[in-house]
Amino acid sequence: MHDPVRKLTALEWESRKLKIPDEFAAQCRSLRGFIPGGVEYLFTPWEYSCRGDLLLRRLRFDSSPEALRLWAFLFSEKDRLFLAKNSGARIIALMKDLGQTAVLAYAFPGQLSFYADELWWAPCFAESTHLLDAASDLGATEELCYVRAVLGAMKTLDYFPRPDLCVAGVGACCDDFSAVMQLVEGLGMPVHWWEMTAPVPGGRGSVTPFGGVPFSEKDLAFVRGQLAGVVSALETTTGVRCSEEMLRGSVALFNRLRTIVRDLRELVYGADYPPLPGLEMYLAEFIAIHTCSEPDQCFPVLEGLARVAKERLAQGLSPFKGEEPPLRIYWVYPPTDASLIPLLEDMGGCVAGTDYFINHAFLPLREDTDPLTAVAENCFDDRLLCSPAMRADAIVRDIRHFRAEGVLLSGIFGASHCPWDDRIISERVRDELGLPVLSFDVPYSPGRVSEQVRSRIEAFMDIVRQRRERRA
Amino acid sequence: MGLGLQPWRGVVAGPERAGEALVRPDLCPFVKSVLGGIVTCSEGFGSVDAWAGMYTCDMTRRLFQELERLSGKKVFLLQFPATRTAESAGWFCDSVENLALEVVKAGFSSGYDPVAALAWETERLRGAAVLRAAALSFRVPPLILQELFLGFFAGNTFPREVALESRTPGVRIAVTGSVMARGDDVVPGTLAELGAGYLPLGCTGLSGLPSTVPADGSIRELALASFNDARCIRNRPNHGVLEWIAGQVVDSGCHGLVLKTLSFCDLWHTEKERFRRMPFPVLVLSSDLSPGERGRSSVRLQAFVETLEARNA
Repeated sequence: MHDPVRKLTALEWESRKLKIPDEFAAQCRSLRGFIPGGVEYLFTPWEYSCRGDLLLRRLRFDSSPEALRLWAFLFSEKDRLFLAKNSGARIIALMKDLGQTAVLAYAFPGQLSFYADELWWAPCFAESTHLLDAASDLGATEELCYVRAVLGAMKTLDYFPRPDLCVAGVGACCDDFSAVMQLVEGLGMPVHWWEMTAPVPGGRGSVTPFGGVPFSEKDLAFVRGQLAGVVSALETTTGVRCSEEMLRGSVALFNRLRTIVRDLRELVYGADYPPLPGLEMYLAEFIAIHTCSEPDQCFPVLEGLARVAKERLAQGLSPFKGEEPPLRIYWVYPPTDASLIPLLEDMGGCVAGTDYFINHAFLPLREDTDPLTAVAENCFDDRLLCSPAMRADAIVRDIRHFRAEGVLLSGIFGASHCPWDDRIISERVRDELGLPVLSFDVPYSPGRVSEQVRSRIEAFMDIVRQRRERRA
Repeated sequence: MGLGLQPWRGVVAGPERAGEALVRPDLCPFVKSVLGGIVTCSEGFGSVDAWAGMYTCDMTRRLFQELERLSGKKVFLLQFPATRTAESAGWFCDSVENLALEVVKAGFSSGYDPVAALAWETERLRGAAVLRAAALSFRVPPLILQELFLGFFAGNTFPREVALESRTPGVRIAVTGSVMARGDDVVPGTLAELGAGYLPLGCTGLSGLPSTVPADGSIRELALASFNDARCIRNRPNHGVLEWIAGQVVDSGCHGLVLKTLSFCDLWHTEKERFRRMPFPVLVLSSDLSPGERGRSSVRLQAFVETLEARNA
């Protein structure tokens, strides 16, 4: 398949899929560790839309088979969880930390772990409020951010089977999810609670080796102990005794995974003409936090994508066309409505760097210390645990690194961190970099993009464009 | 007091609008009002030399993380654990000890005196017992009771005795939920107008009163007592907190419970359905601190009390 680089609709992929070589499709099988021969997952966005994720019909997708595989891999996670459960696997719902406890969980055989937090985008992809409605019935009403969909999913169990264990990080976490997790336990789910601690601005001695975030040795010892408690809970649930060797193996696995995603971000977000669209990158970034419930397949999926990116860069190919390179926009907060990213691209922009809450999951984990200490250090790198000013500093560094020309904050109404972070990040970006900033809350807008949001992005892109022209 | 400082707790509603100038409006009104008090140096906030920023919820965490920049005053941060384990208790004690060291290092204190600390804590426990007994007698008018509690928490006024009225109210209402700061008196005010009894159960009520007697005046023992006394809705898990509240309502002979939550206070607001399943009438009042909300809350409270009066007639 050597077609031109372009974007395809879900229906276009439907007819184009027939051209995909059988050898490629045959590689796209997951759950080989649980079901002999594995299970096929390479279906088109149209087919996944027929299973309920209607937003896919409004999106356009990169034309490479590797991108199709990426989409299929993500949207087949639900199937994997149900099939694995039927095959006797333990299902672990990880909640809140976004990247660290998965390292511990995947040290264990016979289980699949997923981040329940990711259900947060399900109402927008499904263009249905049924998860939100189920959450409302239990008390999680619209004052909370979309993460309340997790509670709805725990009630309906139509996105994943009943978890054998929920691992819940609390303490220095957002109020919305803390409240949701408590209601999850109220449903009778087995929950192991662990305390997350916030780094202290200014520091108390040490800094994390890769994120440069200050922490005290006492806090580190405490977090390490909390993670040891998570390991004990996993041992009880799986019936497997965890050795240090198993943990070291998982740290190495996640380091390999994080390296691929980190390098991919550098390749794509650093290019004047990015070799991949922002939506595919959005999906790829989230694989870094938990392998998308399939450690075996996540590597060929991401390596294939990275190969495409490198080949396109070498050949000067890009889905972004035009005489002038696209306007470079740094994106803050994962957009609840994924269609906003292609909207930005249709208006002449591209994503040039992101803070989707998961940047700590792109950092390496030390392999020259004990695994629990390495993961505990990484906990302090979580920007949501840091002060808003520390997060703003990190974002400003990123923006400089990726040479962004504007910053877009797609906020989340009701999220306990947004009222603080929005203002501080926006002011810091304007004061230190003099860049235009657009900040808005993403509304629930099934079937179409909100006209108000469209107008605001359009006006913002005009400002960024005029600024570039003035500087030329 | 062990460090030779004069503690003051900022449970006072400052000018919310002034706080709103610095953050988005979808923030807890109490946090916004504290922020307003800090930036305008009003309502006692201006007299603070340094802050011990012990955060519980995410909104207070971010407030205290930014407070030093906003106020120009030194802030000593402290995380109150949500989990209720021995490890969390130990870490909290370590953190409080570390805070005390930092206070001394920063020059705000010349050192810690465990005898002075224990004397103050003993007085506080005695005052708490007096206040608890007064509240459970239902013979203190609601607004006076509210003032006594706020005096206890904000001004460190520990009552030796409380004057009791001879008449007891017909309907007794327990109130729990988000912090009730000075200036937020719509519930006790309305109950007073209606002649109903008032039992404050929130963190500026009975659940905030200390009850654990520390073994000595060491920082560690005092911190541990504070940890063990906490009945915060943010505790994880928090079943024990809900059971305690239900037990207080039943044991005190209250006829109903008001769950008063502030807008965007997720930790209380999301518990409303669990509260509604409790075996007594429950009214959920969600409001901010604006004058417009007072009327609405007052009317709803009035209807609730009348319903209970009819039921108990």
